Amino acid sequence: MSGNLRDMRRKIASIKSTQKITNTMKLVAAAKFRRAQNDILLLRPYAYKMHEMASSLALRANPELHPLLAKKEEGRILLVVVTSDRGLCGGFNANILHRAERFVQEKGVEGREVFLVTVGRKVRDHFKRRPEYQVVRVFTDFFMKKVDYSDAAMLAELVTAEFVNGKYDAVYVIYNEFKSAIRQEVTVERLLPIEPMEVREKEVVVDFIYEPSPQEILNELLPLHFKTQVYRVFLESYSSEQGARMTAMDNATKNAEEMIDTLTLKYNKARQASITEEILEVVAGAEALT
Amino acid sequence: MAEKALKLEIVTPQRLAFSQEVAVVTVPGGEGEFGVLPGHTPFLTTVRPGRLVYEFGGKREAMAIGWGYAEVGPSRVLILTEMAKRPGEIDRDEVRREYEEIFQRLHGEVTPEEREALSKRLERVKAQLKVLESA
Repeated sequence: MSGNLRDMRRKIASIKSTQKITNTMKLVAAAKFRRAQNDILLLRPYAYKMHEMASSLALRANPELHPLLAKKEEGRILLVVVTSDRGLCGGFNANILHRAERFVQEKGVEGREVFLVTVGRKVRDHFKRRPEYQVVRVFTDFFMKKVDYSDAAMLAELVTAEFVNGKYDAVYVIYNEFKSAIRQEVTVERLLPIEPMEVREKEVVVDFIYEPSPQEILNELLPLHFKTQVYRVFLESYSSEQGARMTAMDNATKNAEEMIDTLTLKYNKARQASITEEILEVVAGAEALT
Repeated sequence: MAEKALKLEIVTPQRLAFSQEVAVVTVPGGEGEFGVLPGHTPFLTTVRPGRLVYEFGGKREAMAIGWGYAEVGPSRVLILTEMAKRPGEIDRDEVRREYEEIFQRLHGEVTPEEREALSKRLERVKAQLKVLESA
């Protein structure tokens, strides 16, 4: 009986120490989350407006003016899959990976070939075990501390180069879009070629007057736009990740609390039972003597 | 032109710096300063550091802006730039110090890339000083 009690005590202690860890992780995630949320909320207006400018350009300008505007039959698609580097963030990564696999299958049915660029350790590990997917580039550790603009710029330049030299006909991205601390949404977007803006009814589309030449402006503006979008995607994903981890660890802490309560109750009952039993033995022993 | 309103939007990577309807705006464009009234023809250009002036609620106000782009339409001016500061947001001493520092370094040994980066920063600092002087 006392051995049983000792086991229970040990189990309670072990859950308590796990709870301490999950609680600490929750607090760390919360601190990181606040900073990440701040970053993405500040960048969004710029990124959205930049997107407006670029898509308005894509509508008005002659697509032959710049390779990033060139629309082609999508035979070969490059898909950038963004997950986290660290785990313990609930369904954050699983949702992305499912969506990515579905994307590859759907496009495959249409007869298109999809090549993957993976960002994050989790997606790297996932596709390492699945050789039927064609992973062309692997990036990790972008999300270990905080998101760095230079990482986004580097990836953007690389992808741009491969798109421009005709290796791929379109570039898509799958990432978790940040909605709120407890909500993120798996999002698929086409990044390249740049999508033209939708035309409002009866609106006459006129091309811009460019100063300096269209070539010069497009050569600078479109790459900058693409880098900004990649950076935004990274920030979206990073704040989503911190939010998801915060929620997951909060749940884990609550579950641990519940388990501790149940076990403690059981333990107290068992202890009481063994005490009662001992008293009964003593009483019975005393009675036997008289 | 039926549309009389002109919305001026100034956005930086750090914030939405301005978003209001204005009567007129003057922008330091890469190819020279230009003014925009409602009904302007669509126009896309670069922006260089300088003083942007707009008329808002009957008053003329100025802002120091950095390198970037401007998209002009009949009813909207959108400016994407790395910097946008109102006179009240510029720290005079800080800017002066930066000016001195860049000036010193430009007269020392620098590589061509550094020189270019420094000149770009210098333009930005000058734009802020210009706005302070005129305020």
